[in-house]
Amino acid sequence: MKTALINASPKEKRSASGTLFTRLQMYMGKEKIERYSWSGLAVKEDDLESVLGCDTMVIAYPLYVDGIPSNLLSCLEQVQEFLERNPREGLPKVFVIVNNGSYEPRQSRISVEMVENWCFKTGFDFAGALCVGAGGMIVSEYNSIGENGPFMRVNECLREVGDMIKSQEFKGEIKETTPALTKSMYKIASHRGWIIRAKKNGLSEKELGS
Amino acid sequence: MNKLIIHDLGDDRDEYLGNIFAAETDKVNYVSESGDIYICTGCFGCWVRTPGKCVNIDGYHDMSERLRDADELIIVSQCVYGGFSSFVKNVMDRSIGYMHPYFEKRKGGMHHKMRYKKVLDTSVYFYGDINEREMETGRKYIDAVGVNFNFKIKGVHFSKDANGISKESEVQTK
Repeated sequence: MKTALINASPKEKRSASGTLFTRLQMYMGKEKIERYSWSGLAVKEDDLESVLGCDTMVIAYPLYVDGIPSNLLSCLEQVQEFLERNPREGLPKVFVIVNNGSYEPRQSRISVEMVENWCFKTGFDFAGALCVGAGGMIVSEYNSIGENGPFMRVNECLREVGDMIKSQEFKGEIKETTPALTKSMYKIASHRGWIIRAKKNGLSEKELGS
Repeated sequence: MNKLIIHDLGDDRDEYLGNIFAAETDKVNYVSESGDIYICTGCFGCWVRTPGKCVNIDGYHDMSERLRDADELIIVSQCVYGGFSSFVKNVMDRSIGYMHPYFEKRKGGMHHKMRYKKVLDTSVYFYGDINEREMETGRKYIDAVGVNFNFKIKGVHFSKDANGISKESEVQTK
């Protein structure tokens, strides 16, 4: 089986999407994996042919303004147009991993619907999605913590995604998860994080705005 | 009244939309595709470096202020998979400086605090070959954007093509 892991974060480095993929790869054993970056507005056609030759496409992206980031949107449109010019059968299954900065992973569901609508228009088989809340924790803490710490639930979900990819048995469901911390804890950590970043830029908390 | 019109028809269609949506006495600010626009790279500079303003100066860096100064917002966009077109979405992505980085509980969820104390009347006009699924997604999507930006959604309209847009375009709200 060949799997395309497509990081569609507009951030080229240190993205939560990339971090989640690094973790997912740990659960995919010896499966053949090709990693792609769709951080810009267009996909190279050579890369596209390679992606379309895979058994599974996993697209990871951050939730932007309740929806798909504009770069990924542009890429999806390009794929649709490509397939209209070059129709084919046996398209890969599409699985989505979306992370959002707010606490509730359910806020990502509408964006997943948009990917489902894209699948409906293009002929891809929508295989399911994993929505990860409290995304601000993913880049800052995930890689420094082991299997059984606060990211245990996220690890379990990613392990399940890895199993589905290996067996090619997908449930078509949308699953939600967050790291193991309360909403209040996440809010406090998040606010503290913004203050630290502001200070590095020479700004006081007051200067962040009202 | 200050009206802000964000659209993807090209900047040569500004006047066409102004004639539909604005009265003679209105002051209209257009946001349309007139050159290269940076994509939002999630650097959060609009929160922690130059609060309220994007660090990439390209003519679309001050969306937060444009929203702040508007009395009414009109968005005209091709409906792509139930959401905005890539250009309009890019403009909205570049508008997150309109919000404050801190979270608060609002409408049953965790959302960013508002930077400005205002509720902006907003109408969205989608156009294109839109199926039922996309229409349903579009309604839910605009509601969600309304919550996050504190927009008061006056209507979500769907037309077959951009030339059919009018204030009375088929309305699908709830």
